[in-house]
Parts: sequence; structure tokens; C-alpha cells
Amino acid sequence: MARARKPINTPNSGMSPELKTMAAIAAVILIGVGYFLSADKPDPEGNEKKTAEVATGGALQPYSTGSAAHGDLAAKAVLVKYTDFQ
Amino acid sequence: MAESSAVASVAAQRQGKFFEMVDKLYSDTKKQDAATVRGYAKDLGLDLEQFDKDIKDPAILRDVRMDAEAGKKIGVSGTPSMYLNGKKISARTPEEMSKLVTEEIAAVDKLMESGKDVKTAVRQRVLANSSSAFLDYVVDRTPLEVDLSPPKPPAPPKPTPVDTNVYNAQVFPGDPVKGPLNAAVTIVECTDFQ
Repeated sequence: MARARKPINTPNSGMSPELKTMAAIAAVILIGVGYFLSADKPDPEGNEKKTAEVATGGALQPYSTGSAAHGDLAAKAVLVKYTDFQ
Repeated sequence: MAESSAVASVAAQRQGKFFEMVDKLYSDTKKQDAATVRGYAKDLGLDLEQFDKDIKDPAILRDVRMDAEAGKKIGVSGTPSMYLNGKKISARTPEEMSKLVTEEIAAVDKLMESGKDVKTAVRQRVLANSSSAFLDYVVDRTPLEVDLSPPKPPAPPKPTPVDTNVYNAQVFPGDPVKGPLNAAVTIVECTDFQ
């Protein structure tokens, strides 16, 4: 920290849309619907789902809280993302 | 409000439209009242009668609150938070993310070479990358006790007490300053570079 006459920067508000897309490259197979501190970003193009489908050849169905499909999944890399809606 | 939106997204998932509902909810995060969310359900072609029932289903509320509790168990402190086979990841670029995924798949492949099936191999990686809590509460969804009472309304903000102290901000030769050193008013700003 330094003392200087410089505008105080705003904190990093989140990841870039590009990274968000890439985040689903393995497979979005479990989404934790939490409600925590900061805001997430929209994915209006559905890139997460599309990327997951491409990455898994369409064999893997993304699912969210409440699903009991663990036993049927064959992904080698499982991405869990906690998000909220604020 | 965030919790009711989470419930709506899971209700939509019962009709196979989780991600579609999530996109709708993010389209205007300041407007997520019941009528708006129901409008989203209609736009998505959901069976509204079923949706109306589902958003009142205590099982969904329990799942959502269990998710939040599970998040606390594994140390989620903010969103978005991502875990790859149990390992918290903070990749800054797509290339970093690709590298992490490739490494994880290679690790699972190696375990499978010794005869493990994919599910067992992934579970082993999750344990190696995190803790049994992740396996228990996120992967296996071991039930957690949650309070299903309606959310309490947020407490009104407490007024911030006015600091009436007078500070003598000294300025020394060599400090980065603008203006005369004998100014009647001195403003000191503390900042960092994040």
C-alpha cells in the first residue's frame, strides 16, 4: 500500500467473459447454486453449455443442484462452479 | 432475492432449462421479483403450473441451502468460485485454464491405466486435490442440516457514526505532495495498486 494522490482503483469485479467460457471446457456437470458475496456475469450466448457439449461430444448432460445423476457421468475433469444471482 | 432466484433456476432444471433460466436471471440482476421470474419461465416455454409448484417445493429450497452450506464447508468465500476435480482454480487466462484441464485429464488417464474406472479415478483425484469434505458434500451430496424457515429480511443499515476526531496529518519533506507544505487543509489519501 502506498500513500499517494491517485484515484482509488475499484476492485477486480470478476473474470473475463473469455475465461468464463473456457471455464466450462472440461464439463459443466455440477453447478452449485450458492448465494455468496460478489456478482457473477451473464452468459447470454450459452457459451458454457455449448462448450461443455462440444467438450463431451454431447454425451454429458450438464446438471445442477438436485440432480442425482452422479453415477451416470463419465467426465474425467469435473468443474464445479459456485455462482449467485446478485 | 438471490436465494429465490437460485430456487427458480433449480425449478427450471426440473424441466431441463437450468442454464436458460440462469441466463434470464443474469439479464437483469436488479429485477428478479416473482412476476419477472415467472415471465422468464413463460418465455422459456416451461410448464407454468409445474414451475409454480416447484418453486414452493421445500425439497428445492433444501437443496439450495444445502449447496450454500456445502460451499461453506469447502471454503467458498465468494462467487464465482470454481473447482476442477476438487481443486480451487484461479486461472487468469484461457491458456491457463486449458493447461489445468489438460493436466487433470492426464492425471485421471494415468489412474485409469492401472485399471480404475473413470468414476473411481475422478474420486481419487478429488481427494488428492482437496479434502474429504469436497467429496462428501459436493460430489456425494451428503445431507447437511439446513434451516428451512423463510429468509429473514435484511436488517436496516446502521447509521455510520460521524468521526469527530481531528487528526494532525503530518507531511514530511520527500512525501509525494501537491501544494504548499504549510497549507491550512491537508488531504491524505491511502491507496493501493490493485
